[in-house]
Amino acid sequence: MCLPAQGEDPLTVPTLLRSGGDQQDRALDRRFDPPTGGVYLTWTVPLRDARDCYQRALDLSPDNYVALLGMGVTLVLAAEREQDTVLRRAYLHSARRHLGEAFFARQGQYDPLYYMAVAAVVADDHAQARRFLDRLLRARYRPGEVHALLGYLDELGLQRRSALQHYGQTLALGASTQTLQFVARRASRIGGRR
Amino acid sequence: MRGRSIAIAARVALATGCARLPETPPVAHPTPVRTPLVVYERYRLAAMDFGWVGTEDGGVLTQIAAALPAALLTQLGATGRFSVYDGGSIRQRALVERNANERLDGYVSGTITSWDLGRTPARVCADVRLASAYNHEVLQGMQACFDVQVRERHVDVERPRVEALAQELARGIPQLDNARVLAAEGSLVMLDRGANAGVLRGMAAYIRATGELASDRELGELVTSFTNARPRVRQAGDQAVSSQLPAIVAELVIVSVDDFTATAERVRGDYVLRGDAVVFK
Repeated sequence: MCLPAQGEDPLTVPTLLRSGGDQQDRALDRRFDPPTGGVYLTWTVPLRDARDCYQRALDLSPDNYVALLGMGVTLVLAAEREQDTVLRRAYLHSARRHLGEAFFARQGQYDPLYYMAVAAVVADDHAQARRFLDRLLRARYRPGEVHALLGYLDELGLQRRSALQHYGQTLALGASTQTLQFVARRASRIGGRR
Repeated sequence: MRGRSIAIAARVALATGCARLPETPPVAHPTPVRTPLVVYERYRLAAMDFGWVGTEDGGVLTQIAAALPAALLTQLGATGRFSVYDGGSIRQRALVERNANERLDGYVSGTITSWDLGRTPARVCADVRLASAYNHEVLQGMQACFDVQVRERHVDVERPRVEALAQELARGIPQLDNARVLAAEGSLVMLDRGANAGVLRGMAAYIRATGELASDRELGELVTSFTNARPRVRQAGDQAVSSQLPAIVAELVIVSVDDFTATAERVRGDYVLRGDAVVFK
């Protein structure tokens, strides 16, 4: 989709970034959609299109913050879906590099930091994830989403009481509807077990 | 017994990260990036004509009303404080008070209030005003009189007096140190400097996007250890500084001033964050 049709002018970086962003939004909204036709794909259509758009944007503008961040997020989402551990590790490695370069591009640091935390969660590197989340909390950046991730890590570590506290913080501070629904489901499940 | 073993194994798997919960938290969408703006870093000022159209004096006052702002514009440019623009009738009214905010931060206008064309040199007095281009509030007003040599097709305004007037207008918009954003809500922005630091209503400023940037070495090292990416730096003397200046992302005009804080309105740009740097023009 990010290749110009025959006879058309080549796509510009802003156009590529806009298309990449649209596809990435779709990929984020449909993260947990079940496979269609019984086929499980790592690279769903929106994820693949987002990757192609961001890659072309990076070819034209290698230091572009939006393209670096977008590629990093796309690769984290792909790693999350990937079943093959070698490929999964390769996607995460590349995602970390893109997110790190986005961080040092000095246009916005907390977004790359947030996705580094997500990448660390996907890589099961909980200690590293907590370091990033701690920095984000101190900066008061997306506190609802950050507490949801901390609650999730606590739940994985069987710290149910602490997980409940984090989920409570998310509900108190507010977050996206999806995050609030997730937190409400988890909190009622843990609460019911106690 | 067997069921208990399975439960313990599941707990161990969860605790060591070898297993996942049935669902993972949603991943938030990236924050929209603030579009960098092209901003003129000096205060943009135009001199409008002094608004006299009449023929009873043979058109001499009309000529003076056009010559005065032209001379003032030249002297304002010479102060080095402003980016100056032609305004009013100087260029067929391409830039007038009504559309001034499209190109300017402020404009100088005037009204000829008294004249004596019978003497040599002739004498003309005018009320001169410096106004904000954004809300047309008059920031400074003063009266000035000039000797004017009027000959056939020739009007020569007393330059030293015009130069003094230009200097006085330049002093009306002092150059200040940078401020920081304390809070931002919609288009309103609160700054950490006020009247005590010389901030005046109507001043123009722009925002450098430092609100999200932590100049934190420890954080940079944490990111480098995780990603292998390194900061882009250049050497400035003994110090390594970032090779990229934070982008300019918004323009402001000061709308109210207290002793220690000021409130500004965002007139261009997407949004402003707490901690952003405010650079006064």
